[in-house]
Amino acid sequence: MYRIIILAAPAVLLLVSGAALAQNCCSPAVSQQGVLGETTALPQTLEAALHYEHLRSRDKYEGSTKVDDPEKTEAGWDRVLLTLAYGVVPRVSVAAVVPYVRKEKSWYLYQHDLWKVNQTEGFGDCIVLARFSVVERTFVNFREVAVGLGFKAPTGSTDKRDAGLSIPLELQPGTGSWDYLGSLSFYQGFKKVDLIAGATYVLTTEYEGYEFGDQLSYQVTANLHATGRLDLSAGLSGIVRGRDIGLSGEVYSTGQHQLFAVPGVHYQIIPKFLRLQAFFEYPVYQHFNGRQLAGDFNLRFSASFSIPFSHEEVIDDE
Amino acid sequence: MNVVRCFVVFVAASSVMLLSAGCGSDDPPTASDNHPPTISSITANPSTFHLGDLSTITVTATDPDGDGLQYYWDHRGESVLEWFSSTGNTAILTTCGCLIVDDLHTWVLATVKDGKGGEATDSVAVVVLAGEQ
Repeated sequence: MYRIIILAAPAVLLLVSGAALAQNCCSPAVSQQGVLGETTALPQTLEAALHYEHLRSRDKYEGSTKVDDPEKTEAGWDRVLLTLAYGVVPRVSVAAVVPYVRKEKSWYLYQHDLWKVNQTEGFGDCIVLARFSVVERTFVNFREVAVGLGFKAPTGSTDKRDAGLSIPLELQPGTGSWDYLGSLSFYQGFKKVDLIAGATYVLTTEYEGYEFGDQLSYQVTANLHATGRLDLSAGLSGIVRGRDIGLSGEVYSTGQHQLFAVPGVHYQIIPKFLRLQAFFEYPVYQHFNGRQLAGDFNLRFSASFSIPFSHEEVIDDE
Repeated sequence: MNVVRCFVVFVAASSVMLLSAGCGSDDPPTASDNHPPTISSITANPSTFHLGDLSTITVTATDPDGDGLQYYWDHRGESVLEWFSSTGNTAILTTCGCLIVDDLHTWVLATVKDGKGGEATDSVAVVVLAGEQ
């Protein structure tokens, strides 16, 4: 059983650490890196997690400079994600993410003294990712190098309307496109600290003449085992997005590079099985093409469960 | 074996019921009984405008059966255009608080539906001028 603790704890931790929130508020991009995790689930172990995310954007940027916004634009994104990862065989796991999103954007037409609010809600696009451990974690090395391949299916709605008016695609629960994911991750565990690094690339495709920009997210995190149940983490997570492509070419005010500082707290309610986590993402660098809304902050709360089905692992407890 | 036999009988009976359900004479009116609405005009005023401006889109449509009409509004604005409000056959179009470096030549679509399967769609060209007013 002890082996399960040692190996499952970082796996569950990694399910929710990182750059999942490192997105501009109304970006349609879906979580891929953080919530999907960077390690391979243990064989015959189900790792389930429920996340709540809150993203808020209020500042407008041109390049790396904050600019006045007479339109007082404000956008928010609340999202609940269910993630499931299962170790199919040693070294190979499959993970899935099912999101439910609520997006809202308000702005003020100062020339006309009018306010407008757009709001949508619904199930978003689901992600499936298969992961393979090139270097497998063991009792001896506490190290893993893993690669992943997956896809995002267009399960979310793209035709939400407000009184007959179409709502912009960036505010829809889904993007309409099939996107493809590739990930690379590294984990090294020490007695008191775990080090985690990873990157995920999302290759987007077109939907009805519009294609969101490709996206690279990356993260580096150190996780300190403060007490038997409490871990503290500190990390950096970033996201680079290319410009969207529309019917008339590249869309000027799209695409960005954002870097966030990500402190986190992890607490094991039921050691080995149930863990609560909280993360706060604060932007330390932001650069946007054209003029765009920038992220104020992101919050995430998670509850993670690890359920081993393997007797073999339990016997190893001795 | 009896269970299998019962299952086969159940499936067969269900199939017959489902098939026969579609053969009655009390069917609701089909789409062929309905006549779709027609759009006689669609206008944008102004049709060329700056970021931050409003444009009023008006569509004029009639339905040969006198059905009440519903209006649906779309655009190919690519993150630049946004709808602001709609009332009946009129909708107000505005723009994002973003920047564009080239004039955006695009179009707005209005779809009119009669609620019985009939619909008509028409479009009007609009131009958003680069730079701010």
